[in-house]
Amino acid sequence: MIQLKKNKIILGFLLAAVLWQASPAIASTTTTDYSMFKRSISPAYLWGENGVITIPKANPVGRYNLYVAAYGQEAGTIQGENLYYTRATAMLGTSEDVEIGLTRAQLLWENGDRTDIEADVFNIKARVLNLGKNYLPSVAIGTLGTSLKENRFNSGKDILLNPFISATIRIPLFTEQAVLSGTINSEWLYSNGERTQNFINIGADLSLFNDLLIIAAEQQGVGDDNNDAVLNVAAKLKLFKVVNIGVGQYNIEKKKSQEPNFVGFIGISLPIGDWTNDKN
Amino acid sequence: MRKALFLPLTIMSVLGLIGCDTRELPTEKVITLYNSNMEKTSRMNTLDTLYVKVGGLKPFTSYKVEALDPNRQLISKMQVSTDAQGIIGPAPLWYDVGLKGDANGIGRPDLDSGLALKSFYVHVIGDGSTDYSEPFFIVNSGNLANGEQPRPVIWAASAAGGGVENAFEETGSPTVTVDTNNDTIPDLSVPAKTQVFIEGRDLLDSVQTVDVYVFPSRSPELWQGGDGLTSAYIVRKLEVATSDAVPTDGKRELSTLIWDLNDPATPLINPTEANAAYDVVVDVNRNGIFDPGTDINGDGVTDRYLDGIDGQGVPGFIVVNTEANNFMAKIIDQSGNLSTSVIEGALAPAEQSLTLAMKNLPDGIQPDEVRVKLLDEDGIIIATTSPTTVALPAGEFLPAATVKFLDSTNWTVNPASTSFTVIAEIYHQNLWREDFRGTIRVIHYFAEVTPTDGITPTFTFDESGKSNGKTKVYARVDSNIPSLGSNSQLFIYAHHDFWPAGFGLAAGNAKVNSPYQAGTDQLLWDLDNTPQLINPTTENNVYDMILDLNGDGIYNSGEPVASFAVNDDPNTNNPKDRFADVSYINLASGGVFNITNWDHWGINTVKDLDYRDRFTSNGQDTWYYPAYGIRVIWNPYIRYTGWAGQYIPEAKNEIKDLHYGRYVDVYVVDATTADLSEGALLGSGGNVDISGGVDTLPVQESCYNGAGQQVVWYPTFKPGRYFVVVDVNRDGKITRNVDVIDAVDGQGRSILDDPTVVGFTVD
Repeated sequence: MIQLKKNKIILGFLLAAVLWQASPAIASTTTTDYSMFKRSISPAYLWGENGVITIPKANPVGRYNLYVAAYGQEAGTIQGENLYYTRATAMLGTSEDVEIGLTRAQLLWENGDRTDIEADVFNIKARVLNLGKNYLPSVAIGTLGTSLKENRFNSGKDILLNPFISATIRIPLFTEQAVLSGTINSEWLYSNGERTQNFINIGADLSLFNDLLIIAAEQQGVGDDNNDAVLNVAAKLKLFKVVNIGVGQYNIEKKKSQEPNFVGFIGISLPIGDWTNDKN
Repeated sequence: MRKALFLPLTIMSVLGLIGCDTRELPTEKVITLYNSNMEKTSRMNTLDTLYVKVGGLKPFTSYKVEALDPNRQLISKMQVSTDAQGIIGPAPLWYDVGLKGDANGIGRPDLDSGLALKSFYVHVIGDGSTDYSEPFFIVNSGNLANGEQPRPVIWAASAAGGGVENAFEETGSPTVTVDTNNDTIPDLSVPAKTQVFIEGRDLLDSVQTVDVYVFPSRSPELWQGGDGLTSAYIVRKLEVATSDAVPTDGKRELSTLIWDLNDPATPLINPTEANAAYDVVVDVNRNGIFDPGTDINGDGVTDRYLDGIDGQGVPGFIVVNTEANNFMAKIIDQSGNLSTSVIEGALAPAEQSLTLAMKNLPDGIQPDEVRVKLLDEDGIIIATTSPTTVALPAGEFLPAATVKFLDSTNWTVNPASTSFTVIAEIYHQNLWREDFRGTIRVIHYFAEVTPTDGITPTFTFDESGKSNGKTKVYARVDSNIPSLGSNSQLFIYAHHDFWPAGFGLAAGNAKVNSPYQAGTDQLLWDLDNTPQLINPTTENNVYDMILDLNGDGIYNSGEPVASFAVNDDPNTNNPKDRFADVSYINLASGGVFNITNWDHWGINTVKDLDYRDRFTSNGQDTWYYPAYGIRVIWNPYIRYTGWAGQYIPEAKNEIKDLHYGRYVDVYVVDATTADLSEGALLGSGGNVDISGGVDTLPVQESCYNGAGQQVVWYPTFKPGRYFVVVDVNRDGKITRNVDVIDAVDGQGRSILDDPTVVGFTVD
């Protein structure tokens, strides 16, 4: 049961982009480069809900659900003052199957001042296959987009797209109070008619007590060609049904000694209801 | 409408929650990236240069800026100082982005890629309280864009199948040398770069043969579609077969020797800026016309490429001027040894003669277009001699000649003569020009005392430190002198043209003093012991041996005097040499070029590099962008002795395959206290940098290395006289044949020509 409801033009584009998957992979971007790129530009997904951590799940955020979230990590000190590298995301579900969002990167200084670092990212995701709530996979396609030139988005040549396709399966562990979810994701980078090779990622999350506590882990880079895979882990707590706080550890390389990045996360969900009177 | 406004309003309100106020910085961001055209972009062309600008730092403070890979391994780094606003750059941090090194560190374009992404951190550390990292990414095109035909990738290489080579060496250039244990030895594994190969990739399967042309560079003008190729080329090769190394990839390859600079038919000797830069065009369809390709969809961008080019807008390669064909002249004695003296008296003139040996004379010169003049100390010409023949020595590319300018035929010295001058003049380009001038000292002596080497009378000795040289001065005294006695003393003094009676011979003023000892030759001065004589010049290389017969410590009329000379030897590896044997070149610049349309490779656009001898202390007369200050600018046409190879790994964690170049340390040192001798320490305990911190800069041969962006000293400058010392091998000391020193004035005179010359002066 394919549920294509809206934004057919966009989905058509995304499907066309998916067809690129069939073209021969010729690029040499390493998994570590790709992984660091993803850590740098990924929207703040609600961990374990619409994304594992940095890789998108097939589940959208839901119709007319809005959330704002941010994650941050230490960036070091300048003249003795601490700085934090942050990314803030606003994500909106425009239908049951489509979500769109915008993410902005900023540096936060110790006293709360901010400095823009001009690295906006837009994202769109559409669930194109939904075979059922449990045990059968859902499939979504989408893309992230960021600017290659001065944060401008007015020329296609200056936009770097990150198309992806994700499949997620939901498995209750005998009760809805404990649900395991697995995601496999394939994505690549595309700009001005050229693309990188595919990157295959996997992730899993365990939701306990109706999403009160979610523990998630993901591996960026899977397969014989990815001997420099990177592991990210995170845990998130939901308070009062709308506030999410979490902590994660990024960049745990599986085969090399690596200094991990600790990441803090906060998100606020805002179910805003149907203001369009659109019954669909 | 309501629906359309909702999302942006929501996003704005959410993002407004993050942070209180915007931190005011002198720059828009803490770190900004630029390409070599100073565009803020994350898209880099293959072989582009990444520039970095950093703000929010302490003014006039030295910081290390690094590019680190995702594993925090070093890609490239620099150590630079901030300006008055606490800003660094834009400064070049990473050269030749998209070039990957092979196991030997040879750079090659990464052509197997489609779109390639590279993530990295820019890490800034310094001032004791700054340690900041920010993530970035850049992408390079893999030349397989929308067009139906890929762009042929063409580059020059120094060997078949070789990596990118941008700087070749003129005809006859010697094998590169390397420094081992502070000594210079030929490295036969690194041949001189005198063969230009053209490498091509991404040629279509249908391209079985191509025509390859080398032209004088047109940059910064562009090659235009329709330009003819069949004239004005330097060399060309027609119907060059391509090969198909990987039959399944739909592409063919090109590799051919296009220009052998050592071929007598196609030499390039002493190139200047007018003929040092070249473009390469590969005529794929062999129609004798440059066809860059077609813009199929009319978007202003070529998308069906045809001919290949290395040198569109910037030179494809340059040929640097080496010392190989420079005019050289030396004075040699009858034994073929270097000499700067003749001896008056019984030994002269029959037993001695002096010859001027010249090489690398202008091509086609005739004997009567060379003349060697011998002048007495009053400047009167004694003799003018031309060579009998001018010939091309075997293995050389320019003719050589010898002229015996002093022998029995023109020996007219009188007892008062102290010196001769020898001048070589060459008639070239309708003008007689003086190309060499040397001084010959005349040594006088009495027969009663004779300098010897312990065996035979000797009037020319070698400076301290010469291996197997004549560095021991003996005195042979005629024992039949009636007044010779046990009180007699021997002295060595700096040469006097005339010894007045009554002159006090104080031991403390003498170079050497010793009581006369009867018997065989008496060792008087061991130059390898004490005192030593280092790098003697015609000003201090002649000495007098005096026999104080009555030992009264006074020179009395008639007491014997004999003179001898100590000659400088250019091959002495003496750690106390006054000035190390390094490259002395202009480096300090104000950055105010007469043409400012520069870029990374736009070398033909820059005619005046603003090398200066004087700066004002406020620096307001220097180039203002990115900040006022004194720059260090490398001239790509000079082959520095230290460029033994492009890549020298210096740290275990350095990524060998990403940075194609090397680092150098730059010191600005006070000339009044500087020690420019070989082995002199740089930094603490030696030549201390006075510019606010030693700068560590990434550099490349044949590059302008930032073309004025590498500010090494921000104003206000302390008035004084300074040298710029570039520690090429970063060993913290001055290394012969490796390091580079700006101790050169605007007229090109170096400290070797005039010890008063400095790099620059601040008024």
